[in-house]
Amino acid sequence: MNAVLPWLVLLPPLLAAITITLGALKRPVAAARLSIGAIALSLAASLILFARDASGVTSFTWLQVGGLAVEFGLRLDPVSLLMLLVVTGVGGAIHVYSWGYLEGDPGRPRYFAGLSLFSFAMLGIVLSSNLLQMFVFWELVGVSSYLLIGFWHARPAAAEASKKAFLTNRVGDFGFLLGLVLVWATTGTLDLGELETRLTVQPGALGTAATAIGLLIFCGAVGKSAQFPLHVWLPDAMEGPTPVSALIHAATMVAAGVYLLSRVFFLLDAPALTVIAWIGGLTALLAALMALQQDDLKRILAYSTLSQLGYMVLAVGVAGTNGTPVAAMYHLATHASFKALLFLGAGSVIHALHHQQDIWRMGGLARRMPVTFLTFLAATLALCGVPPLSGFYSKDVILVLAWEHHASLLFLLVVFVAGLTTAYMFRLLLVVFAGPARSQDPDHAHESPPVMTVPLLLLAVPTVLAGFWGIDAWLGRAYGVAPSPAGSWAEHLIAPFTHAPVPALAGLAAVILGGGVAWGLYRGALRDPLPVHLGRLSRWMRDRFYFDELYDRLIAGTQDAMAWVADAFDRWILAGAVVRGLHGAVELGGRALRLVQTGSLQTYALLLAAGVVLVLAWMLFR
Amino acid sequence: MANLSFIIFCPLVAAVLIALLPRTFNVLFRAVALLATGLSLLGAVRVFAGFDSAATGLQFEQHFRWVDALGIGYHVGVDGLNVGLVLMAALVAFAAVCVSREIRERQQFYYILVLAMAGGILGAFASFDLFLFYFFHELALVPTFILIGVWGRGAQRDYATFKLTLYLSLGALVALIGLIALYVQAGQTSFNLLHLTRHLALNPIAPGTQSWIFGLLLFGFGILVSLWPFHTWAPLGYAAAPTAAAMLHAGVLKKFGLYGLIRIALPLLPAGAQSWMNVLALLCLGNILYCGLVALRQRDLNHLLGNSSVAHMGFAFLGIASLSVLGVTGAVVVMVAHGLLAALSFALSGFLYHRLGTLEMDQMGGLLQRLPFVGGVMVMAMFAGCGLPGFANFPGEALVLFGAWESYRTITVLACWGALVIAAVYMLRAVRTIWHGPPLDRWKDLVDAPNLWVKLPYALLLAGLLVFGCFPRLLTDPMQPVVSQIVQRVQGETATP
Amino acid sequence: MTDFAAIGLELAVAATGLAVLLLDLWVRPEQRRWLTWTAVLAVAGIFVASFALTLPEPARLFGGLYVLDELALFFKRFFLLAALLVLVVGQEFADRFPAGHAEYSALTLFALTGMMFAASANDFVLLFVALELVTITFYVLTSFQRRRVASLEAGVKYLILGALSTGFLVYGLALIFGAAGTMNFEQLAASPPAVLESRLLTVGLLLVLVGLAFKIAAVPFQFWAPDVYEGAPLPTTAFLAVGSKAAGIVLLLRVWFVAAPALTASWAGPLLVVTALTLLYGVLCAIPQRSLKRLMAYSSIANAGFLLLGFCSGSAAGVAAVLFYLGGYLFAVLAIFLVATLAWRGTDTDAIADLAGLGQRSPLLAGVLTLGLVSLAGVPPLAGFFGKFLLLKSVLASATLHPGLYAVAAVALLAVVISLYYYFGVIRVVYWGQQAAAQQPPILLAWPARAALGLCVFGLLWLGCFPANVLNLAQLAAQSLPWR
Repeated sequence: MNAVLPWLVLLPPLLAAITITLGALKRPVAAARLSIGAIALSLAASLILFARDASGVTSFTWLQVGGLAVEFGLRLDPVSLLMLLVVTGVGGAIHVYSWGYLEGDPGRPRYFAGLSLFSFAMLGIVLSSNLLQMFVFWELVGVSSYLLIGFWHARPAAAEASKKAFLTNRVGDFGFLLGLVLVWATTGTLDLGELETRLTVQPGALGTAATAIGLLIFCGAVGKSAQFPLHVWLPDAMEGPTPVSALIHAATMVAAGVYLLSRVFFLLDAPALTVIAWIGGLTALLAALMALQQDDLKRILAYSTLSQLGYMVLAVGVAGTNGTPVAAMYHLATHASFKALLFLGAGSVIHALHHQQDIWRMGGLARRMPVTFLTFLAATLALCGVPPLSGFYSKDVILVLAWEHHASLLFLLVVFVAGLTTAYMFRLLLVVFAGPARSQDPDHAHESPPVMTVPLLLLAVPTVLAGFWGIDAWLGRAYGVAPSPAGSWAEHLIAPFTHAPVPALAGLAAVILGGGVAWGLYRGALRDPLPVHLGRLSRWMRDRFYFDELYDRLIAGTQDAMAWVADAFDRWILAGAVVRGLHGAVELGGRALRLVQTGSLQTYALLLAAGVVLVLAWMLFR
Repeated sequence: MANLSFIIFCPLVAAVLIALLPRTFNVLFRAVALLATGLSLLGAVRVFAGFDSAATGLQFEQHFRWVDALGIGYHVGVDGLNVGLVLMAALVAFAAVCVSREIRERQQFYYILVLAMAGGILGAFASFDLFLFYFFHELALVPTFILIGVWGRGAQRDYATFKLTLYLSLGALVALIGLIALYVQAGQTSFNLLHLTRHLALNPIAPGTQSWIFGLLLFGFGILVSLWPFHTWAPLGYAAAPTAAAMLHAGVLKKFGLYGLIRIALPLLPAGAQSWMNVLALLCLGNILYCGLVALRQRDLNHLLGNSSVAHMGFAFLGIASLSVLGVTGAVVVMVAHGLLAALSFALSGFLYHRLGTLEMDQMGGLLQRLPFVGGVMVMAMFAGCGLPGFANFPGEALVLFGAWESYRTITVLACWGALVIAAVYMLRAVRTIWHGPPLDRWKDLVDAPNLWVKLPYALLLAGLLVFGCFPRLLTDPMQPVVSQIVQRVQGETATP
Repeated sequence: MTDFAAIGLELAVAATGLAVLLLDLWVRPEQRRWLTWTAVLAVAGIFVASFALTLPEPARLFGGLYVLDELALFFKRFFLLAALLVLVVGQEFADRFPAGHAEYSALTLFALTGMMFAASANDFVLLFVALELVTITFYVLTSFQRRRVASLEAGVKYLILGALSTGFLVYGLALIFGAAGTMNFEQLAASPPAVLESRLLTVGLLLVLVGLAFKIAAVPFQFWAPDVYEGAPLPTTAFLAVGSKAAGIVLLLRVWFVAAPALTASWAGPLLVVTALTLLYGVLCAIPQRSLKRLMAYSSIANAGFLLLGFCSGSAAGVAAVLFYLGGYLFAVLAIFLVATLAWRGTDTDAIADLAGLGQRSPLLAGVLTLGLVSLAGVPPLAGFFGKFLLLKSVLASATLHPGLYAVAAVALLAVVISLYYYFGVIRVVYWGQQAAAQQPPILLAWPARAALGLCVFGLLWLGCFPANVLNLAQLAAQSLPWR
């Protein structure tokens, strides 16, 4: 039983994707049913596994050449089980929601095929027992996200965005793959379990390559989780349909990077962790600043995602070599639910406003869309870290880690970002749902159909309650952390304040401060007042600190310039001067030699005689 | 039917048969060609399925006397190294005949040439006699020339035809000199590869001599595989070639040189191999990076595919240069994968050319809306081209990178960049330009592949890529004994200098 | 075996020639082409009969003047086959002769007789006589289109230059006789060292070699070839390219390997230079040619270079390669000229461009022409490939003797590549050349022409795909030269 169930988690979405591609590309309803049925099956199988607290690996050999053996295995442990639930649960809600959201779009079968493929790939990452296998699914996630982001490929922006997402990810994967090569070259294995055992027995097994390995694998996470400096793809990826944004940028794909880090946590050494922590912190800060000045509803959420991912990555980094990545995974889990909820709520709004995404053309939607508003509000509060919602607890763990790690600068940064988070989220909330309508669009808005609101309500449950489910303790088991004695829910409620009051209070203060500022600035505002106060800084924040422009220049200056040189060399020197030159020289030689044949008999006779003289002279006097 | 001679001679006999048919039997030519290549494919599938990967030595072996005076024999067989290649070649040949529907003029002559080419290719991969190996390969030279010349396209057709032909002949002749030198050095008794291997294992050639013979084989075969800087014929030639010729040539014929290096040069000239590998590793960067960058600048789809095909050959070279079991295995996997991929890509670009009349990418755009099937397959092919897992190219390239790391670190890093990033950049840019974006009005009457019969060749090739991509052991497991034998011979040479 | 029985083949050919010449007086004009077909049948019969001859060991006749060994027999068969095909070409070309087609056939047969004697020459006297019989006949054959200025001019050029080279040859003979006191090859080879090392003999031998080099059109004695080939009627050009060249080769083989093996062995260096130059000159000059005949002239110079490669290797394998190569060369060249004759029937052109559209007009002719050209270019599965392969193999196998052989092999390789360029250029014209404005009518072929085409194709493929038989014959023939 145990050998079959994990496959039942993994394979249904793949089969659905294949079936839709081969047979149901013209039948939207069948495609949707297949896709949703598949993810439901995966969810059910995951729940059974979860209930049984299954663990272990089932595998077969995928590739065996020389010293390289790659097992294709499905590894179950608390971390992967939790992640399975996140992916299938949040994913399932999004599948259902998509049915309503894409009503009437002719490309729906293709969409569901992509969605199923994506689910398959994501589940594959979660279940991988082997680093190369993980890389395989890693790439598959990349390509399926490419297909989904570019779903409306006729729109140039979507086409560009999907391309950018894939290519940026590829840069990260470049490091990831090299990291794998290095791991294999150093240890001779790519199996996660075996690597872990080996490193536990012999901590210095990686030798001098340790830092390099850690950082190279981290490159993969930087790409997928859109960390600085590869963060540029994520906001653009909002060109995809909103459920895709919810799936990719909330629950799954971007979380894969963090999941990867927690999977290979034992490989990371102190210098690598320091770099990881700082990259995470920097991303959190930059993204939060950018989010503050965006006007596109989904982009704000996208930057918010970036920022929260920065938190998670930072949490991995500050955990220290003796610590665990539990904090990161905890935040990942809670974030998955409330960020998915936020995206789906945003989708609901966008759907109601006929694809209007500019928040300054919205307003007063709270009354028109009560379910959307309330769930959105809950998710916002969770994201900001308002107790007792789930986000508060998971974020607090990170604050505590930073505090206990004596990374005072990082701690300040995290608190500051928490304040910024509240500020931009309240800005969003106030502008979209409160205040006057800022254009005609909201006038006709009404609540979305149940197929869309039910997933919202479902997701609201973990958003509110996940803080009490003991997710951190569940995860801790995977890393051999003894669970703290269970107390009553009331004790749990105030635990952060009793256990480590400074971070908890600092976080709460940041939330209040950020919320207050946003309340002051944006209550009833018709235009954004911030540019007036911040001037040029505001512009920088709005224009994303010009990273895209910088990269464009950089790419144009290096890669495209090199391509130009290579092409010119190929065209003019190799194919031109050398090849055509040789050809021309031979041809010219032929024409020149032909001139000897004058046709004149006297010349020939003379040359013949000269030839005889030459031969005789050479032979006799050599 | 599981008989190698049957597989090889089916197309050749069919070519003769078509030549003897009256000129007016237009329908029959295509039918006979389809039947012949189809039978070949069936035979190849049965050989592949019947191959026993546990056994060592040659299977399905056939040996006849041919020119006794020189020790030349007709000797065909398969082992782990070529069993996949034969299958791939038969598959591509069948697909190439399938997509030749677009040919309307001089069909009789056309199918004769295509079949001659196919037979030559199949024979080359099945040969275990150096002379036969070369003989079969050269069978394809003249058909390629005429195919490109008569049914080719583009303003540069003439130039491309001659350039390709001369380059290929030069490469083949240099390799021939190398092969003859090998024969002479081995005592002029036999061209039989097995005999030579045994003989040279006991009486190795002096290292200095090995070195120059290996140099001849390396550059001779290298030119055939478009080793940088002898690659400029390839993109130009493929751009000018008719679909089937491009498929057969880029897909299969080009692998001949790589196969020769692995099959002949490495095991027979181990010391020579050692002395040249650093050069080869450097040159392969020329393929991977330089040609990848050149591909970035192409505006014509076939030029892009041609350069990309040249770039992919770099991985096979790198795998060979690594002289490791992983690398060489990877190189062979790359050969099979790229064979299917190149054939598929050129088949699709041929379809596009046939429908659009141009392959200038700037003039396309939004075609995915009009051609969902062809577009979908081409997008998949392009993903395969940038080494996406699930397609056969990935295990090949990954094995090459893993294998090459030990010997060439910097080169591996750069090759990895070429594989993952540069390839992705040009492929995705092409997808963006051709398939995505708003559909153009001028293409609003385009019709996609109408029925299963038309879709068949593309589906078959794609299926091949996917099957070998998902289950690479189908290829790698049979290969293990022979590859480790070859690598041991070369590595053993370092141990006892 | 009596002396006259031994030269039975030659006698039969000469008799056929005389018969044709005489019967021409009696036969009505409209039936004259039957004369040629009879001659063709007779030659074919003699060719078949030649296989009835068995040689337990070489026979030396007429006081050692004449030798009948495997080498001689190989060449005699070669010449018979060549003449047979040339007769067919000549018949197909008959419409372009003003008169006297039977004379043309008869002259061809006389030239054939000369060649067959040359194959057996074991003495400088027979060498001279046989060669002159061939050459003088060719003077006439060359200028046979007597209303065409080009033909006459070619005849005159050939006559004067040929006479000049014959002058050198005769002078060389005199010097040899003066130095050694004998004209017999084997006796000369057995002369005391003092004689062999004398300058007189060296100069004499060199002058003889010059005369032979003139025949095979090796650099620097090749100047006559392009003009004569171009001016002569197509069948004559074909016979010049195949028969006359092979006659030169067989004499060269005898002189080089029998008459003075010790002396010639020391001339390896100059031979290599001559070979390389011949190869390069031939292929380079062929590139810009627009006339097929002129192209074939340069091609024949280049092929003389390839044949000399076998001399360079100085081994039995090399000579066997030369013989095999000649076999392939025969079928290829005659196939090309036969096709050219048929395709250009009724016109007076020899421009390659006028072959345009042949691919559509007559796929058969186009195919045969392509096979011939491809074989000359040396591509499998045709005879030319195996010949070049054998030559290269023999050169590389002997390369340890003289390092220059590597260089000459490299030059040969280069020459092959360049030669592909112009041979394939002709194929290009045939299949996708710019066609003349009006669609030309399809070409009708008579059965003898078809048979001859079939014979050429069969020969090309047979030698290419199943070379073992002919290779054995060639090796046997090569063995009849004295190898130490």
